[in-house]
Amino acid sequence: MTNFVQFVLDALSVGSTYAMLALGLTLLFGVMGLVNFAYGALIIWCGYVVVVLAPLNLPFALVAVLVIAAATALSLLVGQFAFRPFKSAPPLTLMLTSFGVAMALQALAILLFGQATRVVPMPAVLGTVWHLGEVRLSVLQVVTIVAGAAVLAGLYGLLQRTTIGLQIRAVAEDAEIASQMGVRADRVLMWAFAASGVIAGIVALLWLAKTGTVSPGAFLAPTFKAFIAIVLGGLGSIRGAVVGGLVLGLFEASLATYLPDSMLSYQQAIAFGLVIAVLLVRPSGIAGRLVEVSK
Amino acid sequence: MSLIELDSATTGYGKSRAVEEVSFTIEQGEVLCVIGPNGAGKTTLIRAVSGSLPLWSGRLAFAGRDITGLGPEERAVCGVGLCPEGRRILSSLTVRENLLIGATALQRRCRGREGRRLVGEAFERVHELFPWLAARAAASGGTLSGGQQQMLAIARALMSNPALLLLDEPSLGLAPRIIDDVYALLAKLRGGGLTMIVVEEGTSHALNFADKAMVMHGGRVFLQGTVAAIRDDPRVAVPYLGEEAIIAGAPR
Repeated sequence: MTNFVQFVLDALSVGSTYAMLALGLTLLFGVMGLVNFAYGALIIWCGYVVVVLAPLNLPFALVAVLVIAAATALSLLVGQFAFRPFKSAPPLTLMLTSFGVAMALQALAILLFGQATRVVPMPAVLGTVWHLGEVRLSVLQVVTIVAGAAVLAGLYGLLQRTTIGLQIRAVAEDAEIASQMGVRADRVLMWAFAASGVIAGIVALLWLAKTGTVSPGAFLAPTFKAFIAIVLGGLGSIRGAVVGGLVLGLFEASLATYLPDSMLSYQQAIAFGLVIAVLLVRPSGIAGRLVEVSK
Repeated sequence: MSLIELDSATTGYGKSRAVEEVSFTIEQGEVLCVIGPNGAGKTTLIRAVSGSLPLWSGRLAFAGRDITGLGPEERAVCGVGLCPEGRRILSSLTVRENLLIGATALQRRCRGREGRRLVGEAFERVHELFPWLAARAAASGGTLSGGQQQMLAIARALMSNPALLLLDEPSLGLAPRIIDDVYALLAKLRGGGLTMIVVEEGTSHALNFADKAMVMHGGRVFLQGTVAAIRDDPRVAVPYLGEEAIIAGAPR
């Protein structure tokens, strides 16, 4: 029983991280068909923001706000100058553009901060572990699960309860008709990039608190996790992102718990194997609907 | 001053022209019907007026203002409403949300409290025309029948209180009884003084309903005039059936 509770908590905290990553990615896919491989680059840049701010000894709450603001600004910048010009281009063009953006942001990081891995200082309290009977629970895990729920609730509220959310959903379904009704699709696009950036900032703080370091090449891991999660769950839907993120978290937690140590290095390969297996059975993901390929 | 003036408009897709040198003027309160066979350029013409397809050459004036360079979202704010081909209901949105999106242009014209009041009025107006819409407000747009979707598409376009309503094949794919309902509704709107352009492939409904008619063929204007003149012109059949239609057609 204790083992099981431990397992669920671990799965939930890892899954929340992946679900948040997936939400930021799926939002852009929904609105403009963009699979943003540069998403992870936002996260490493958040790491460098923390590194740069470290000597100032600012209170962590302020650092957190600045990191989220930086991620939002970077997301808007990339959206405005790299992706918006290609808004009616085929998905492949957008995807290649996102590779280009990821490379550029990585190269800029190397130029400014070097190849070496940097330590990202985070408040020690996040590492505190509570023992409830035999169950171990870290502050970071609790914060992650709470943040995941808050991001989900916030995004849901934005999309379902606000005018801009309504416009985002309308543009996601049929941008031409939305514009014809007076919706400024470009502006809606930028709102989606802003929301995606805020989520990237929040998840970056949690991701960095867990890894403790940042390096220019570290953008790949979060990008892949988010990508696996949205493909697993179904592209372009909120439910798909959450389901995919949680399933991936559950899967990784079970691997960590039950896989023999000698096989732990295959974890990544097994995760991709899961994606292939799921797609063979359900080509549009676990929570996805079947859609026309031609669109 | 005419409400809308299109002057030798040419446009198309990629490098191929779909509409060439088309001109028309419509006075306030008039209804123009555009008819012609499949591929005549009717939908392209609607897209050129609504703004989703920029003109390659020519000029479009609306209420005395040159709107040639404006995109669809700005033309909507000016007062151009569209009920598109195939209805294009946003199926993931509810009926009410579809109507709210339709009111976007209205809210951009008039912001704040006054804007909200106008949206409330628009809902009242639309619910008066379509009482069933209020009952289905929370239903997802995708669950409506074809006829209901057509009505919703018209209602959505009316939400912005347009000065000009563009209707692209409003009878497409509907049962004859429903088509009668649609045209009864359009007649009511016409009675209220709404200016409209109606595109139809079939001739009967649109010709009975409009003031002016334009027959398109191969992207060009083939015939243009009052509906009475067009109805009696044997050449109407040519774009549909070819030149021999004149000899085989009207016995005169």
